Amino acid sequence: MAWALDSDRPIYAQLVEKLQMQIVSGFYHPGDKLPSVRELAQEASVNPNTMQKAFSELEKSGLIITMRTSGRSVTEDVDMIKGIQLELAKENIKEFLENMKQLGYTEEEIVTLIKEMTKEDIKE
Amino acid sequence: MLGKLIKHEWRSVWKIPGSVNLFLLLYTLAGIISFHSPIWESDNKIIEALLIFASSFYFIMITLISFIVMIYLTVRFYKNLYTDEGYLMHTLPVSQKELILSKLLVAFIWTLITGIVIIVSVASVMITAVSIGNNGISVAQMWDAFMQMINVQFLEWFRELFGISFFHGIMLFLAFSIISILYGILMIYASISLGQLMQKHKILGSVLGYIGIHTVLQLINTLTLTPLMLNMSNDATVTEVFHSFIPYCYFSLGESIIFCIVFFFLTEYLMKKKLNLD
Amino acid sequence: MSSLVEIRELTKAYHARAVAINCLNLNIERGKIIGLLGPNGSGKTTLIKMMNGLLTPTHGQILINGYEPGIQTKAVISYLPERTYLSNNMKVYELVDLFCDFYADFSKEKAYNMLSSLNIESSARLKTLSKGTKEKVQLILVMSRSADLYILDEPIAGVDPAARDYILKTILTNYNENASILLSTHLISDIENILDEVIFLRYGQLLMHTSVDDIRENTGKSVDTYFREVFAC
Repeated sequence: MAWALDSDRPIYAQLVEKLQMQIVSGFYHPGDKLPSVRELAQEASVNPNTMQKAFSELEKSGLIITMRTSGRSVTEDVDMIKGIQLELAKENIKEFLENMKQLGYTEEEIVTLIKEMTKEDIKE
Repeated sequence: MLGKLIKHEWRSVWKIPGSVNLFLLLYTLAGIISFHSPIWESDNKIIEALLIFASSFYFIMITLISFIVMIYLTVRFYKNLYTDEGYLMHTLPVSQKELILSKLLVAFIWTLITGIVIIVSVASVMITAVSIGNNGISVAQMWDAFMQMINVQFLEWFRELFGISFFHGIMLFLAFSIISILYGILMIYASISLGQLMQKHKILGSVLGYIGIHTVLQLINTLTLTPLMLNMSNDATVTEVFHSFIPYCYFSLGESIIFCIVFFFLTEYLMKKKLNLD
Repeated sequence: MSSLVEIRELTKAYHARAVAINCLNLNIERGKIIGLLGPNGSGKTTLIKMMNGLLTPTHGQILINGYEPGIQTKAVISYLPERTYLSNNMKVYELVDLFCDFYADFSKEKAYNMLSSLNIESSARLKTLSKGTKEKVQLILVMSRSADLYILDEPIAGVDPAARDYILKTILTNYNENASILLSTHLISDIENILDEVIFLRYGQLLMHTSVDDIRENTGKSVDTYFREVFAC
């Protein structure tokens, strides 16, 4: 199954995001071995060179570690993963706030709304 | 690579000419067997009509079979090299020479086989007819009678008439047959290669190309042979006429060989530089 | 190492008024998947035919691995034409044998694996196969070679979306890092994720040769959308 990718943004950047998400969400655990570039490129239905570029990007940030003998694996640095998780969360919230403001909500209204909705969820 | 091309060409071609020839042989065999049965003396009108039909069919087949084989091989050449299949053939890592040679060789062999099958068929029908007409003399007896004809006297007569030995004559005849087959095939190849230059109506173009080449060659032939003919004055004796026949044959043979070479390289050039696949 | 393909001042004029390729200069590197894009009549097929030695340039030069199109280049190019070139009277295994005989880089094993994964009987006569299946057979034969350059002319036109996915997967699975794939198509959006670079042709000239991600980064548009803008009528 090909990965769902937007058609108007650079592919490698989207691959970086997908991989970050997979690591943060625990699909790959810290220290897990990653599939090869080729395998992942096939899975995603993208060009292997592009996947390679995404990997390099993640290596630069330290999230992925290349080992001489056994390919690539996810970093064992849990704090670092946490950090990226937080960053992603912030980005999501920022975008969400942006949208809500466009709908005409103030920040307090948004917070109240969120509280109400999460309570309802618990009741259900 | 030439060997592989020949192998694949043979594989994809043999079925049609093979079965046509086999059919002719079987038909001949059936005819020969029928000669020994009483049906040929039957008074029954229907059987008579059937026999007339069967005999006519045989004659038609004998006259048409080489034509059928030739047409099939021609279509095969066109289709395999100048239609969609050409996309594969012309992107194989082989030279154009090898492409032409492989097709030429296989077409030559099938034309030759067809010729031999026709001769064998006609000869066996004739031998059977003669045998039955002469109270059933055996093939061996006929052969003996035939060999007696080719005695010293005959060989002398032949040499006197043509100025060459009988063996020499046979060789010349064989060379002539082989070159004519090659000449015929290569002329078709050249015509088709010219015809495919047209954007549309490639087949029509090929036919026109053939007629064009044929006309030009007839003209060349007439122009070159007329002086030879004119050399022979009106008061030439019969011996002189027959003696001049052999040099004429050699000249014609040489001319055919040259045309074969021209056709070959023309085809190669067109295939290499002027390929025009749709 | 030099470029895989070098094209210099290439011109093809069918006659004085019909110039299909006009003084084209182009380099293709190894290890890339490249889309050859352009509207109808922009010279894509003419260029591809010249690279395969099916047409002779009027002027200029094509070098593939340093050779002009000929026997050496045909041995290292795996070409999928737009047309089905397979003889209808042949059986699938006969074609496999044919490819195996002529191309030293052909893998019978690969071919039979792909055929069986698509449930194509190797004893089937081409005549009995549907148009789509024939195209798949052709693609399988082409992708079972480990060539230096794959030239695929409209490989996904005329097949259903499921087959399209299979074809793209086949291309991705079978090409190696030292080879390049040149792929011409109208269906850009279906393939742009697998491309490194795109070449835009217009009136037989090079309009642009750039990477897919550069187009997306610089324009914020997909190659497909960008193509429609550039070539808007």
